[in-house]
Amino acid sequence: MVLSRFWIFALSVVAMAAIGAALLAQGMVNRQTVANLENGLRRDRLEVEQTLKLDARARIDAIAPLAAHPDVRTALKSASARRSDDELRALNTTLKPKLQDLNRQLLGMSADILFAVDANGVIVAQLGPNEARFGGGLATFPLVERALAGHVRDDVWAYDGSVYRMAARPVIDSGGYVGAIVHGKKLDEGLATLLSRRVNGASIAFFRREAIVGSFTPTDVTGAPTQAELGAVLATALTNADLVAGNVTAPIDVAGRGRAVFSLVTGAGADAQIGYVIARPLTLLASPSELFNSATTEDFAALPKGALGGAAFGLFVLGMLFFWLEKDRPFSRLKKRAKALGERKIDRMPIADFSGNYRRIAESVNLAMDKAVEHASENSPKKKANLDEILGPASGGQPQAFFGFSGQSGAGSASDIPDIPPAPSAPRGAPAMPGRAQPPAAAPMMAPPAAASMMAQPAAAPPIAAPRPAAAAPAPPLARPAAGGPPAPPVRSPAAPPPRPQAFGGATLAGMPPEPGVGGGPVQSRAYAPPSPAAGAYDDEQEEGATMIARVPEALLNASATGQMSAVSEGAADEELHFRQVFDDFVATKKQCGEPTAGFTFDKFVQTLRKNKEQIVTRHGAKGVRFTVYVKDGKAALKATPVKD
Amino acid sequence: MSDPTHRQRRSIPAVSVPSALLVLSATACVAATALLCTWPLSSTALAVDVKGLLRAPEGYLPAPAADERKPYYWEEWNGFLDPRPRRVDMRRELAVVLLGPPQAGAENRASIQLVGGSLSPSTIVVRPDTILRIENKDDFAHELFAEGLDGFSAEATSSGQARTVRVTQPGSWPIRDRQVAHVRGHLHVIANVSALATIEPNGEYKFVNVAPGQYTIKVFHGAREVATATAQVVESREIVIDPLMLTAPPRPAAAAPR
Repeated sequence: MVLSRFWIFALSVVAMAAIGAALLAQGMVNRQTVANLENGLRRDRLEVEQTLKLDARARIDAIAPLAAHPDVRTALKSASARRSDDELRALNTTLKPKLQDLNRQLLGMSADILFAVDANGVIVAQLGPNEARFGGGLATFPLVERALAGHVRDDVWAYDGSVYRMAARPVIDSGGYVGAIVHGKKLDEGLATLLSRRVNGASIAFFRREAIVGSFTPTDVTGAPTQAELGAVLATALTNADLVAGNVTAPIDVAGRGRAVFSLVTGAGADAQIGYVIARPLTLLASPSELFNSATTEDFAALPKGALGGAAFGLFVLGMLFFWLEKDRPFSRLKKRAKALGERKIDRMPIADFSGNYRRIAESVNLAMDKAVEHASENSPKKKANLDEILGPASGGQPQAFFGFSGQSGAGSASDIPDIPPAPSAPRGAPAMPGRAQPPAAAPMMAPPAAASMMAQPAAAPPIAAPRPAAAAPAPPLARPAAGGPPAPPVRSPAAPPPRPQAFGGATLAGMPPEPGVGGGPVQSRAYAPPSPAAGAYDDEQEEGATMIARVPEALLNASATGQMSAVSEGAADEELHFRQVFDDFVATKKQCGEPTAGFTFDKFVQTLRKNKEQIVTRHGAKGVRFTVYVKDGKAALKATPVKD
Repeated sequence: MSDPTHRQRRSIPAVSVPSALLVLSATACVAATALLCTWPLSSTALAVDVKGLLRAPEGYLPAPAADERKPYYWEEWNGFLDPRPRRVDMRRELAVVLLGPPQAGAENRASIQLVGGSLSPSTIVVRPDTILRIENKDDFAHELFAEGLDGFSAEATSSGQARTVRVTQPGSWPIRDRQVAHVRGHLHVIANVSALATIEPNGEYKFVNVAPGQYTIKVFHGAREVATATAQVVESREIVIDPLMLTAPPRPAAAAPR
């Protein structure tokens, strides 16, 4: 699972990196958005200032026809030289209609408030709300004062409760200044609308101290700050040091969703804290996912979809491959082996087929099976009944260990039993002497020496599996009865088989060179037996992680056959081989007798034999026991012969 | 200073007794008549008028500094007729006061007007505990206040209305208008103000009925003191002070309270 785990780790790292990048991108985008907005507001303010300046110039120029009109000049000249208030009243009566007519001709520039003052600043005629009382003057207003001194000028007035953007021109007649025309337009929503359009969608508001005197909020701009929101921050802005000093403020937050800059107007109105505010909405990313909301269709179209899709598919396939290699495939194999185990096609889980956790699972299954069998054979009385069935009924006073040969009654004496060399108890290093072995009673029935299994136990096999060979040697051919003939006589396995190839544990023999000079018995020439089909299948299914089983060299087999191996291992191997042969014979006989063999496993069989052997050895003081298969009452049965010598 | 009456008495020639008695009787009658006629003025017989002349030098009103924020986008010559030079409206903008011993019967009352869109006078000098009356003669409302002076907070004064402010604290405070931004004024409250001069447009000023004594003449233009002189008043009909040249360039800066 190394690859899969690494793959998951890599995916986690990539995912976290992507999330981190998205979070970083959110912060960066928000900062950039704020910076862009604030820069935009500064540009907007310059644009507004330029617009107001051009507007002032336009108003100054617009009133030029009024200042130059002969009727106006004449009236103001007369007013400046008047000797009585009656003359002023008369001039007011004649000049006012003329001013109204001229003002209408200004069209879009027509004044909301218009004054015609004489050379002393006294109002001769006035248009607009709250007309001045007779004789009122504007001489001390800087705008009027400078106009009467011969200058054109603009200003912003707070006049009688309203805010006006003013313009003034001197009236010249007969080589002297005779008065001035003073023109005013309200600072109101109309101008705010004009400015908002000029700066492309910003909210514009004019204020006079804490009061908004005119504003415009574009309806086509999402989240544009409203007049109420601007008014809420106006009090704070008025205390801003920059604004107090007459400068534009830095961008100020508006209700957490906009920015605004505040500036005082250019003119005397600045002293009355008359100014304007420009605001724009601020849309920040609340989460990294909103990054996609700001992407346009062009952005999506520009994505290398093929490459991204291919990369995603490739990564998916790679991940699936890792999972298949490390999980699905061994799991499938485990399922298959478990199914075969359940169907008794195999006796144990082939742990060499697995690696890692699956191998541990297989080992655990094998261990559990062994323990279950052991427990059942030791404690279950039913098992004893099966043993009796397997071994056949024991005569009452007859020693159970004595069995007859085939064709006898089954109650022969020990002397009738051919001398069986005590192979398992042979002293260490003593070779099994073929010459001492009694020839079998029925020579044709003598099974040829079984070829030793070429397969050794896997190195990682648990200790419980170590004592016995992983693959039993091929069963010796049985003397099968003729078709339709009587049941075959009991087949006797070679009681004292000549030295034969041993089934060695892979841990001890795999890859080991033959031990020269061990034993010294005669070497029998034996043909090499090919591996069992099971072993062949194993070879086919060898895979990564499984223990590789080396084929035992023939020289080693020969050396083993000549008794070069230790006597102890020889004895154990002989016993194991003997049990295998007996098992094979017993199964074959049962089949011949038409008995079912399902569930009849070698392991159980061997345990029964060993248990029976121990009882016989204990009871009769024998050094070993040899088993033979025979047919009794149409059923396969075993006979045990104690070996005393 | 010689007494003309004394000189006339010493120059009388020798005459006969009847004539002398007759003349003496006649003189006594004339003197008695004259004394009776002039008795009501006897109490102010020692007070005299003090007058003088203010002169603003060339460039007294400097142009705004280049770095000063201009209260306009455009201010240009009209292109046809030369502009008039900037000038000081001395009657409206200046205040000339006589500092010295207090004058008998002086009233602690002063009056200023809002006319033509501004204060007149715009420089005000009063004694402590003076009641200042502000009358609005403009066609629009004003809302005057003195920055930092208790009792002179912003208060709207409609057209044709007046308000009064009791000034108790000596010092100097600028006066502003919350309604009409260009309105500028300055209030000086000085303890030893003896008299306040009236100023003519041509710069002539005059103190009337000044008791003899040692005085200091000060001229204020807004927050600043632009001229000063001393005057020794004696029993004379009138004292003419040498012309005072306004020296300090007026800058739009508020003076610290004195």
